[in-house]
Amino acid sequence: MTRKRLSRGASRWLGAATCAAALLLGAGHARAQAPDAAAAPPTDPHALGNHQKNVRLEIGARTQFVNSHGFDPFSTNDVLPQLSLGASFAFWKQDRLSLAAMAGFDYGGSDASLRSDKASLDVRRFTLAPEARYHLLRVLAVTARVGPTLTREAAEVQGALGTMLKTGWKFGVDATAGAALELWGYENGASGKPRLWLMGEGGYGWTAPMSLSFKPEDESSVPQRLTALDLGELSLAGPLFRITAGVSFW
Amino acid sequence: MTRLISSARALCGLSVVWLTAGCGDRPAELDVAFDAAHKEIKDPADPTRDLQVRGLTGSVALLDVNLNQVMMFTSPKPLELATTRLPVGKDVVQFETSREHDKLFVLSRGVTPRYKDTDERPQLLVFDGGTAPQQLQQVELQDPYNELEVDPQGEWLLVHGSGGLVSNPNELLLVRLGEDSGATPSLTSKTLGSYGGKPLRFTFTSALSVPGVAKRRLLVVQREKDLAIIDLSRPEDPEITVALPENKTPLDVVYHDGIDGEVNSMLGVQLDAYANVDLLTINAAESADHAFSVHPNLVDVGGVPSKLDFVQTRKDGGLRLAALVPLKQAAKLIDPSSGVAQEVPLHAAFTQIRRITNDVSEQSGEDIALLYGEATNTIAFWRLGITTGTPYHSIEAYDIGIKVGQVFDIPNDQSDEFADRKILSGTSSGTTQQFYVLDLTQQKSFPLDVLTNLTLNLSPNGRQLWAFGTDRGFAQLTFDPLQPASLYTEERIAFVHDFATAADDGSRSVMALHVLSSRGHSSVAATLFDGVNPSTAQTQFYAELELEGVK
Repeated sequence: MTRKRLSRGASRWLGAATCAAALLLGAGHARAQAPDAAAAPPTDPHALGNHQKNVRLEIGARTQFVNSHGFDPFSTNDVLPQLSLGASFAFWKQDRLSLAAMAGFDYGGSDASLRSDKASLDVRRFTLAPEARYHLLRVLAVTARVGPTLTREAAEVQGALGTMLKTGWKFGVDATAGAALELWGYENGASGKPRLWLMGEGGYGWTAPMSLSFKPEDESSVPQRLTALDLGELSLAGPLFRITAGVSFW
Repeated sequence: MTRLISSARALCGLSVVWLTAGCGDRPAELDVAFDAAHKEIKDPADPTRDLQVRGLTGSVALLDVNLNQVMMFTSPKPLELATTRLPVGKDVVQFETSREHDKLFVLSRGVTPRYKDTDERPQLLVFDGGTAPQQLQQVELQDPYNELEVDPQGEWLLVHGSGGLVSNPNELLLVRLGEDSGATPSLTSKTLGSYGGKPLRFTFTSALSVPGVAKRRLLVVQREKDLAIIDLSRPEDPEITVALPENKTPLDVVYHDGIDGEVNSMLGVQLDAYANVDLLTINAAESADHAFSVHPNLVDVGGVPSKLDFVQTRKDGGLRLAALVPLKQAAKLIDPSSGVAQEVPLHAAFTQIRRITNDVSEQSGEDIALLYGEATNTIAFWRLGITTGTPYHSIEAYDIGIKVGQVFDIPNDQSDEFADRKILSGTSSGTTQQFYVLDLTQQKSFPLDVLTNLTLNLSPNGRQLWAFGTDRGFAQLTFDPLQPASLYTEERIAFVHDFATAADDGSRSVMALHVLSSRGHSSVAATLFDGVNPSTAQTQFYAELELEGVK
């Protein structure tokens, strides 16, 4: 029941995040037409400056297509949707190329009927990765990121004997490439005002398999010597897409 | 620009490939809930009660009606459970086993009405009930049928009772299974000539002697006003119709192979509310249409009989048709050659007779019969034979605590060690329920008290009996020593059955099947015990069995 609420909560967060990003971007686009009076005069008005070197906070949605048989009990369409949060710090730059340290957290889940039962999966993924950025334009950069992940997977089956659980922490790796478009921000790279970004990326995510051998949540209430329900192995591996909106500072 | 468009197209194409790769491999069966299939209880002695489950020699078969599959539960070794799923066709109407419990027969109606050629046809499937379940034979039918009769000798299946808008109840499909389990069964369609009656019951006889031709088995179709007799060695031949006196309805048919030099093979027909029995003698053929002829002889037994059976009063002879007449508290012994009926007074109003000679290995040649009935607390052993002054040797009566409704034979296909035992069950007059184990050799009856009215299921190996109710307890009863052992599960019991494991070392597993409620549907679980020395402390519990084979 707790997991059900969390899963629905994640969906609501995804919707709210998307709406908030859209409103923010719409409003921001209008305001960015005025010059930044507070900005210090740049030494080179065409330098990338804070367009490139910044701290960026992101919120959005991550969608992964998981083809593992172990995922079938939890999903009718092999899609694992997640709320995606991220923070990055671009700490090094050389001409149009820059490097950022990125930390991310993805949260989501999926549930489906399992004949007479109900199966649900809750996934929380932590990512730490370097991200390479190359500015094609002042407001457009292509990005590439490869980094390790640590994922907490909580699978649950609600059936005739109550709730059966299987949880685990699994290492993995995400490799993505994409683009970041600055939607709003002062042209002057020296401006310290926030900038709004829209990021899109795609790639592949892999998480080490977890055995889906279920044990009852309350073992005292089920028959002695219960044979664990075995649903095989779950490997959250597959193509992924992420779309986020972000705001950068310096 | 062209390069940009090409790149965009390639990206879209890649996305489609990814999306396609990620979708669609979830088994559709996972979206189908499991609901336990139920049936009408026709036989109160059926241990499966109203559940569509069958106990077999090496497995337990449970119908998964929503997936049109049968789940065959086997045991690789004691306490271990394996599940094999086999398709059974849509709209299953009959789910039966052979008498030896070594085969499972499933009759399905398929898709009705069939609007497309691809719609599934009605079919009859035969499955191996051993430790390696598999489909043995398949017979596709032209029309859907509702009823299935199983030949006790395992040679024939009879399909009938089509359920179309217009149906002919006298249309029968005879399926010869044959000895080679892999062979395609032969199918004979017969439409019986009728004078208005429709089939009520069917009797497969054993091989009966017929003058001038080889022995042959007969199928006797009991209809509302007559009998239709089909020669199973030539099923395509026209049937012989035997009109019954005063259009009476037959209740039962018994048969005997006859005695050389004394009488030919015979059929005895019990008629509804009629004080006469019809004796049909199988004689030599009188026309080229049939291999035999039937000559009826009506014999008055002085009251409405409740049960008939053929008995022998001396070795290699003295054949009589015994008719129990409860109202007269007597039996009539009818000499089939003369039609003379001799009355034998009985101790009580027995309504049932069961010949048990073979079960006690009687060497004298005189038959021994067990008399019992639902109207009396008395059972009797009737030793046939003629002594001075009486047409029988002896009748030994015993009072027991129940009115016997059912007599269970101990299966002797795997072992005849306890073939001389019978299980008597019925209604008890006291507060404590009882059933009895009858030792025919020693003519002793052993009462067994039970706390509630239990369902009895005999092991296919003929060495033990399982008694269970709907609660969490059940009992094992071994015959030597006659020792009950109480066993318990942690979920309510729907069915108990023991079967051979695949280890092929004589080990067995006993399965207590549970049908649990899950989110408005059903879930299957099982507690497995050792089938030879079961113990409540040594079990293995298996849950969510409906997911086996589909997850």
